[in-house]
Amino acid sequence: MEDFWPEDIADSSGEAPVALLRYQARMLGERTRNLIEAQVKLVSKSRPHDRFDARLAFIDFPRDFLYAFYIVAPTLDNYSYLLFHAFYGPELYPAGFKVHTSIIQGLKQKLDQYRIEWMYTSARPSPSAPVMEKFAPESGQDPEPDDWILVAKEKKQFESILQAILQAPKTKRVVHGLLDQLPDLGPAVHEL
Amino acid sequence: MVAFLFWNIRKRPVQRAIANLSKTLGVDVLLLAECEINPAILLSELNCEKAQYHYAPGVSERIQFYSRYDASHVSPSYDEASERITIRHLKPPGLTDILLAACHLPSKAANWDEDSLALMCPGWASAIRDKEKDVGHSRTILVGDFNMNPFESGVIGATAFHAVMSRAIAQRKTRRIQSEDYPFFYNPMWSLFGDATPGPPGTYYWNGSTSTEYFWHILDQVLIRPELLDRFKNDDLRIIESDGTKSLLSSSGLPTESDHLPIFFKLRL
Repeated sequence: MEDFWPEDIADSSGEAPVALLRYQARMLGERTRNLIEAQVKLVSKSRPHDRFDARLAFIDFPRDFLYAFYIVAPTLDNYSYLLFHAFYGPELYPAGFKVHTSIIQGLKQKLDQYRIEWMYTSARPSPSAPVMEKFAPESGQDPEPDDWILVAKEKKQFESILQAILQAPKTKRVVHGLLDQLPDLGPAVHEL
Repeated sequence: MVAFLFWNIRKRPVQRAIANLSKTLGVDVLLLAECEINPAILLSELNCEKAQYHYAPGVSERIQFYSRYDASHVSPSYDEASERITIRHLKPPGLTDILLAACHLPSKAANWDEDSLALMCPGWASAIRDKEKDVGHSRTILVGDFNMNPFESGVIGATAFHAVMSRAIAQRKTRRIQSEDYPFFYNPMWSLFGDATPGPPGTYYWNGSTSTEYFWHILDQVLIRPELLDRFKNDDLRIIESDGTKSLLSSSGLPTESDHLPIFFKLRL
């Protein structure tokens, strides 16, 4: 019988978004002697239906693989801080991030272009452009969501968004706050 | 190969010795009993040259786990209420998973005699068997400070740990007593007693004043289920007497840094 699969069916780039996340997670540990680590956890699909899901379900955004990225302090009773979620489908891109607005405070102008609200518009909107009609809140409600969903259409955009989140002032404050609660270990560990 | 080190450090601040040992021996999984060193301080010491080790916290504080694998690969599986036994599911990436049980059993110095300890051991042994049923295999090791010698009833008793000195006997897997099957452990520590073996004559020295004194005891042991015996070589098991830079023994050959000596062994997983 004939094998109908293409020649290169078993080739893979090995650069799935989760690989990028895991690399950055490892880098945090290397910088802090594993006193502060980052953990990438696959989230179960059995989540209650909420507005996060609704926004993605409404436009049929792929979310087969949903990961949570935590900052963890194993020696502080294993304290963990959820930094963001990342998700994508079997084709890897587009891939999305869900991140609380407090984390990207000060970066909104830079990241606005990636917001899911603009995903299907043909041109970049102005900063004052209203949210897409489909996500328009009921009157009287604050239109600004607690979380932004940011969409990367390809790997470079994914890396840009990831870099912005990891370098955000709040991310640094969280890591430094955890390090500052550790016993005095000398200056080297705090040079993050 | 996965390299394990267990050491009861008797609350001593021996983080430098632990770091030296881990580096010298290439330890992958480090288990410490009576460790009052702040985990952040020890982790910083272990990782002072390179961030290799992770602290794997659990419920029990009696035994601390550090590993070259991140904490998700050393996940807590069971913690006994008195924290005398803790079990982790060790899943090194790309390797065979095992149940890693660790213990620090009550001390005779705290008025626990041999009979009292032996009466408690069936409960602890049963907890291990229950966990083995949960995971669906018996690839288990039990390592720690038993506060008993290999020949005491709590270690050798069928309803207790049932740990025997012969591989051939352990490989029978179980022994039936009064219509009930009791699984074996293999106890390689028997082979390390006395002067004719490499290394110190035991893991713990006590010079008591009674008429029957062993002086050297082997209280720190590793017991291995027969399912893992093809992955274990006796030559890979040692009682450690140096941290690589400094002896752990005095000039008269007695433990100095702690009153226990570390034990080191490997498994091909």
